[in-house]
Amino acid sequence: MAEILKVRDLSVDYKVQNGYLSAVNDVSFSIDEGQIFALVGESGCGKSTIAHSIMRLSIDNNERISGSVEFDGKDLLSIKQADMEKIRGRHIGMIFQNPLDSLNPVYRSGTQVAEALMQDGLSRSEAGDRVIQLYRDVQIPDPEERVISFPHELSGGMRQRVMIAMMLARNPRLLIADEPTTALDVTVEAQVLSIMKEMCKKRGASVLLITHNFGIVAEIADRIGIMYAGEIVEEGEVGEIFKNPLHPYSEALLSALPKIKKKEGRIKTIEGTVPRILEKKAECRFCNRCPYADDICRTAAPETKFVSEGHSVRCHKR
Amino acid sequence: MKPIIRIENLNKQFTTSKGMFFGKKKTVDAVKDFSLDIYEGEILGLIGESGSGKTTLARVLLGLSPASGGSVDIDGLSIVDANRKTIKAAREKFAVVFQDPASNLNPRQTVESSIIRPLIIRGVPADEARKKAALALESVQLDESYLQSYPHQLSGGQQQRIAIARALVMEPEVMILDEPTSALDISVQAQILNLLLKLQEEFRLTYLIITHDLNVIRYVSDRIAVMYMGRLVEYGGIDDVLENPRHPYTDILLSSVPVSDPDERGSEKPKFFGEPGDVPENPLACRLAPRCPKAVEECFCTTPALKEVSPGHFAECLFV
Repeated sequence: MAEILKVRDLSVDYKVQNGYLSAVNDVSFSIDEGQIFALVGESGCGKSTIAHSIMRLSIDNNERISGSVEFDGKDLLSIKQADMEKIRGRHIGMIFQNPLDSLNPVYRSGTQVAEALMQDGLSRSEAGDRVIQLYRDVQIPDPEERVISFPHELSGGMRQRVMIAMMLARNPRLLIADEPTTALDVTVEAQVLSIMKEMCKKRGASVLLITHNFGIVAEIADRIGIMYAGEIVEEGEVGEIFKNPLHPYSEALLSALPKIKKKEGRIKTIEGTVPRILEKKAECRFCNRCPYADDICRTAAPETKFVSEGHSVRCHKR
Repeated sequence: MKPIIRIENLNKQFTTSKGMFFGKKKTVDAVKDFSLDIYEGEILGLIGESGSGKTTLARVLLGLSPASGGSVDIDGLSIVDANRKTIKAAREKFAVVFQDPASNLNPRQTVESSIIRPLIIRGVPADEARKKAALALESVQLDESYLQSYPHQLSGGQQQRIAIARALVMEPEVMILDEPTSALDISVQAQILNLLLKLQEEFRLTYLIITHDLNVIRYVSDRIAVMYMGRLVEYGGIDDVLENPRHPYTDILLSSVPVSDPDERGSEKPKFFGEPGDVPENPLACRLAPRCPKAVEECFCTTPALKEVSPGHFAECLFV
């Protein structure tokens, strides 16, 4: 299958008080057409920074970006701002965690979705009809009533559905969903996830899903990249990674999930905390917390290597 | 085992009005006819979606907001319509840990003064209070050097440990943990959960854990109580309820949680519509009726009774 997004050697450093903080280091991955790719990791590991770099949402000159982000044959990091504006929303859509931050509180929800459609040259009335159809597609009850509701009149799940409708309105080929259901209740989360999955499948859109919830990954993703301190430490098919995690961090993270019972023993924990990488050192970023670490881990940064077709890991020991 | 907290037919209503002066008054039942005993030394998990009344219940137990009806008995002290002295005495048996550790520590105070402040208020001499603070810090596995740090210098996990230390220093009998780990990362969550379990054994504490994370509840609790829109719909031993849920809402809740196992993907799930706010207009109706896949006409006009389905396992549904 054709690759829709190809990220190569992406590094992002943020300027901080005493130097540069390495937020993303040497990240490469690609997403095929129609695929759901999940980036998983703890807070501060660089998941959202990657999403923002792909969309070129960095607002000031506080960061250094290197590498390439190829979308549909074009390198998004080097094209003109005006060309990027044509891609945002039209070809790559994005959904954020809190829909209330993304919706304008003083406009009716339907107006905001229609605005996206009118960008594509639809007339006001055509757009209005399409919005009702879209609301129906994302299973919003009474769509005719809901299009004239203001965002604060909608519940959290409904708002996130409006966001999905808005993003899908223009048939983007790639959807970046940054923690799309974290603010929602479980029953609503399940509804929103299944709508998102179904809609993307129907329209053949690929998804870059950013989350810290392994349950969601297991439920809907095809491939997964596990991130730690700015690096993808392991990448592969979801089933493969869950059954056979190779990187010590993935292994520890999967066994720290509380799914067992108290009687069956305690869950494992990872001691220590994520380091702040201020200057790049020749060492593995996980070495201070890794149970298997030895001299080589502290003196050389590991390279990404493939252990089998489509399963890569960044560790000296594997 | 003897119950340390007895809640009987507890009601809590909030009044809202539309418009500033002459709007129609509307009452919302945040907690409705709630009865439950909490036993000494147990870990009770309280689960429900946002707006189900979990936090309101905790606030009533703590005497932070007055009940509208019913009775709450805390270790022999009745706190409904009680005077301030009784409420204060009852409150001394509790300690609370809230969800967001950053917002519950004063950013301008060192960790030490945050921890000793409640002790000083209770009349403990400063020297002794400092000693107790150091001990409390040790029991949450933090180094004494953190006493002089400010909250912003600490990570989320460390802040939550401080919040737990501050709760422990009061030597409570019951700890109310309101979403203690939902602001934390997976690896830190595991550390905090294990710490809480260790402390519970060490000090023979009673925990009331409020959360919406079923995996966390399953890991830590002895018993579980499921709330839906202010009502207790099902409760019982953790295994009984999770392996054999009898109330349709529990069933839906369980199957909505994403399973961390790709092999389970695509398994059949009960269809469930609507959102937690959809409550029937008839006050007698089962509150789940508009969303329930099993609902029949009767559900919209009769209040289901709480029935014991197996020893200690209760569910409130017409079909049980």
